[in-house]
Amino acid sequence: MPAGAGPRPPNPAAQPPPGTRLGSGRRLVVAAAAVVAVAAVAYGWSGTLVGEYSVMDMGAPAAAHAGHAPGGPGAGGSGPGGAGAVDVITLTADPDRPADVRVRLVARAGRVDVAGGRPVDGYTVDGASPGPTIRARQGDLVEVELVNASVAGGTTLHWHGIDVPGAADGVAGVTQDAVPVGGRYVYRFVARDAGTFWYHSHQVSHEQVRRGLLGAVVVTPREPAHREDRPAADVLAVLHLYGGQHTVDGSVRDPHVAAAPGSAVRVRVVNTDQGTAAVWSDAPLRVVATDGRDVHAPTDVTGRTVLVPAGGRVDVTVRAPAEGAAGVHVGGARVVHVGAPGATAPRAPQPRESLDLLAYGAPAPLGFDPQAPDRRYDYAVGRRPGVVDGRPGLYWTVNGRMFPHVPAFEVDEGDVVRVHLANRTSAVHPMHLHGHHVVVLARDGVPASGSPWWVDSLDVRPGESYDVAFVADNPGIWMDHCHTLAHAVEGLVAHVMYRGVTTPFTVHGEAANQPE
Amino acid sequence: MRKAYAVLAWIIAGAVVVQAAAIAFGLSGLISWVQDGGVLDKAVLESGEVSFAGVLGFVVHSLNGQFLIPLVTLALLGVSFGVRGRRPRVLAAVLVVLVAAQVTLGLTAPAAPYLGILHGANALAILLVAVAAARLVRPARAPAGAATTGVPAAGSAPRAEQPRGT
Repeated sequence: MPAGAGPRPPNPAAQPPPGTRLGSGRRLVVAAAAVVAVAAVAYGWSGTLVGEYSVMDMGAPAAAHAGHAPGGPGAGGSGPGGAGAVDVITLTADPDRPADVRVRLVARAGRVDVAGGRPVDGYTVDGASPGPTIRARQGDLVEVELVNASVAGGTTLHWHGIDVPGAADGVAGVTQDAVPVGGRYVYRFVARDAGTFWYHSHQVSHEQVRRGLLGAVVVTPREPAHREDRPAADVLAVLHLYGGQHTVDGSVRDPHVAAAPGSAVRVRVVNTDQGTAAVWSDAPLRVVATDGRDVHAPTDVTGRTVLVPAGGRVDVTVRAPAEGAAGVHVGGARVVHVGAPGATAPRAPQPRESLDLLAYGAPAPLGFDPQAPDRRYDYAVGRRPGVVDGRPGLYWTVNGRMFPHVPAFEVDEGDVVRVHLANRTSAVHPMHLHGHHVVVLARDGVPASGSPWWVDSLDVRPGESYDVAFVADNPGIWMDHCHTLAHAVEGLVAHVMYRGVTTPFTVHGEAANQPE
Repeated sequence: MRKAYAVLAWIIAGAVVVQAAAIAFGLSGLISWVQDGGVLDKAVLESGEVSFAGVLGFVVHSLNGQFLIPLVTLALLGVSFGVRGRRPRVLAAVLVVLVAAQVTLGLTAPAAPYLGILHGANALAILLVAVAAARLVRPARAPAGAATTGVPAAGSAPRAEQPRGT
């Protein structure tokens, strides 16, 4: 502001003679200016109110560069009702195929009993949190009926890491309406991949997931492993924080896994919390799978911490020692003791260096060529002050744009899609793409040199960038968001949209859908 | 305006003291909690669920630093245009720059811990400049018999608004 442009105190030398009306005139001008300023601010503020919206209308198709997609970016088809539009609710598993695994899960609000700890107020599935583990064999058709007994805001189940059909993704306001109290919803999907997955609410998820509306899914391979490769024991370690209490499988007690000396035990670590979890051991361990995909030719890891992104899973194997127990530290507070029954492993200090999965294991064919993608997208995360839905604050941005004006990543079925993820903030972001697995091609320009590193949840640390690729083989409308769920509430959400797929559901509105 | 300027500047100075006190309280409480078996990891950091004596210190530091101090500093800059003399404006502008840097440093330090050193040092710079600004416009000792309201009578020399130290 130039000097003198603001209101000045009266300058005695320039004072008009007493009796003129200039003083009150000036006051009028100032008052009018103030009214105009307040009106402008109010108008600007009201312009940020989001109200009811469809993800179909969010932002605009992001600029796809260097791709050779027919029609190029923004060539129509993203709007609802385009020619040949496919409603997301029609994207289901074969309705005539009978289910191989049938489960009924009842969601309730209420007390969560934490074994060995104090109970907390939260949510349960079938009376407990974590809810029942769903077990299936690869290729099984899984049918889950969700019943909402008492979750007041409505609820859903999202199948984290399972590449389910579009209608079964469980995102309120995108693939379904939140299930109200007394309501039910049936999810049907084929468990195509063997591995460790989990389910959780995707309605007011930052609240419902944090407070316990979740459980694990284990899919075993159709062809069982050779006897010598089979672990002596195969256990889950579902990490969750209940009211500040670190738990494994809902208990604050460290689990013990009895195993004969020298035998291998597989520990499936599921990070259901909002931040990265560390896994380490004083014994050599192997990372045999990430996010439900096997690592090719894993080797022993010693003196390294394995990091599990929020929402991510890492399966490790460790061998029971000749005597006593080996400890697998999972998260900051809990240890899985593996070895002689009841034996306790000594606490091991956390290695400072972490395992780099970019160069772990041995290369193997990807099954597609990421070097000739049909589409390329940037997904750059930033942060700046602004007003979203009437609330001023510091908000995350995607490619410089703030919710709800973040870009939509439009794809066609069959496309090979490359995404350049960049984190220009000072916080780590566990980026989670629904309905697909992406393979990591490079980090900060350094190409992957180990086993194909397939993920559905990828930690992008401050200043880092990743090049990832996936095959668009699962039509639908898929969230691509940060799994530190509070960040999603603050706008770190975008969508991968298949051209021609539409959704009849809206966020907010009558069904009070609130996916984040 | 002079009075408002002084009050806002003192609020900024006081808020910096609160910042130092709050963060020391928070860290003491955190260390005490860890000594008693509490485990701090990313899950805890993101949960907002842990409560220990001192956790309020982090909350106060965050709200005060990201919202109250920047808003008061901007208000000080606005008010400075109503105060005669160049120095009030210059000091207010310097404060705006220092506070903007301070917020940026605070938010960036988790990605680059050495910036935390600058964050701590810059806090003292803000305190000093805020105090200097507040003292700049304090009412001068009025000559005996003169009005002491701080509002100069029309035509009288507004001594108290003269920049000091020039």
